[in-house]
Amino acid sequence: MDFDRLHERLARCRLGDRQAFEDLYEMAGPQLFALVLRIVKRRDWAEEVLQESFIQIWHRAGDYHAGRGSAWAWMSGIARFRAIDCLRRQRESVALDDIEEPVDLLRGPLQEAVRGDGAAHLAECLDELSKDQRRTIVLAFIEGLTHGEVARHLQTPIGTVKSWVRRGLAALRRCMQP
Amino acid sequence: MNYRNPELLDRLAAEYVVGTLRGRARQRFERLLTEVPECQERVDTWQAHLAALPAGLEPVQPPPRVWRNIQDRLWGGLPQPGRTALRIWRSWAVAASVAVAVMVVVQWPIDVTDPVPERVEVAADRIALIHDEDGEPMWVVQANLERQLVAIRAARTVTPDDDHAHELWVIADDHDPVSLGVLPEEGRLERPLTAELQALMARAQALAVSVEPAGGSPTGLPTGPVILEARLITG
Repeated sequence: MDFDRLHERLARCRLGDRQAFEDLYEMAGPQLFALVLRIVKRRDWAEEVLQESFIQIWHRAGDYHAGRGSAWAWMSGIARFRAIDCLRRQRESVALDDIEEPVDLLRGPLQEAVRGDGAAHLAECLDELSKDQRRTIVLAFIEGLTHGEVARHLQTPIGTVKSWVRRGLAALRRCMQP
Repeated sequence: MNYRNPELLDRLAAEYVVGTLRGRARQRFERLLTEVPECQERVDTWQAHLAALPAGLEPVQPPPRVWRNIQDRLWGGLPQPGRTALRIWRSWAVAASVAVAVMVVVQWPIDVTDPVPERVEVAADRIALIHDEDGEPMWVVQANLERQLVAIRAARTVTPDDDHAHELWVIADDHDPVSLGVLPEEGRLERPLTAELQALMARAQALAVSVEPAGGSPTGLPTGPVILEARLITG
């Protein structure tokens, strides 16, 4: 994904440019759909979440500015929060069979494509975490799992999982700070 | 808990973004987000830290209906002309046992339903009054072509079942029906008109209401029975 073009299109959405919005959907829609699908697991819910996310992106484009991070960070944040809200509304526990262990997302074939959005720095910082800390944070973030679901999936006491997440995030914070 | 403690705020923001902050704690934090600007900054920072992860997922193409629904929700649908659709439309208009609404000439400003006159925000230059078969008003449609706005007011509460919605269409002789979006069940809504809809509204003769699946026509053209029609007049 071309992050600069995404930024330019989002900026034009602020001016009410519908063609730019359509471009934005074409460029980022499939990536955001993948993100949402991994969290909510059901296609019908994922479609609804994606739809609501883009409606929010259009209405809130005026709130976005570069100080809030990249256009991708802002848009993916909207989609993630909507996906988690969807799970919260459905009050349905994730079927743990559906969980795919995330592969190394920062070093896969798409590494080049994501390098533009701080992937390299994040990869370095994730490397500094323990394997368990890294795994729990990525599982929770990508799969939308709660502490309890991660604990069941990894067959580990919930207290241990909470502490992996907390300590892992503390280490990430130190490493990611400029 | 002391939410003014920056370290605690940052920890909560991180777990909020990662998604492990759930239940009441998540609700409390969301309230805090609207009250403490620093909270939003921390959330943005964490979102920026982690955004590269989902960017590495294999993309999945969403079905075309998602984009159509987005357009419909934002702008009342965009035209997706297809030659056959017009013929289908016309055969419906003739053959279907539809309740054709009586054309009613109204003077502007109109206020046929509200006991208390509401402030008119859209100076209409195209108006339609949609009646049911008993002549009872159901929706008032007012379009301001100059401002590229259409206002639709439900004259009374109209509740289709959960699986269906009433969708409004612009009918012009030389064009396939174009959606003006799903009709409100109650109250009033305003939608922007695309340049294309603006031009179409200027020459259209009528509006029509069809019954569609909840959320509106999946194809961008009427798919269900046409139940009402109303003449579009110049106000």
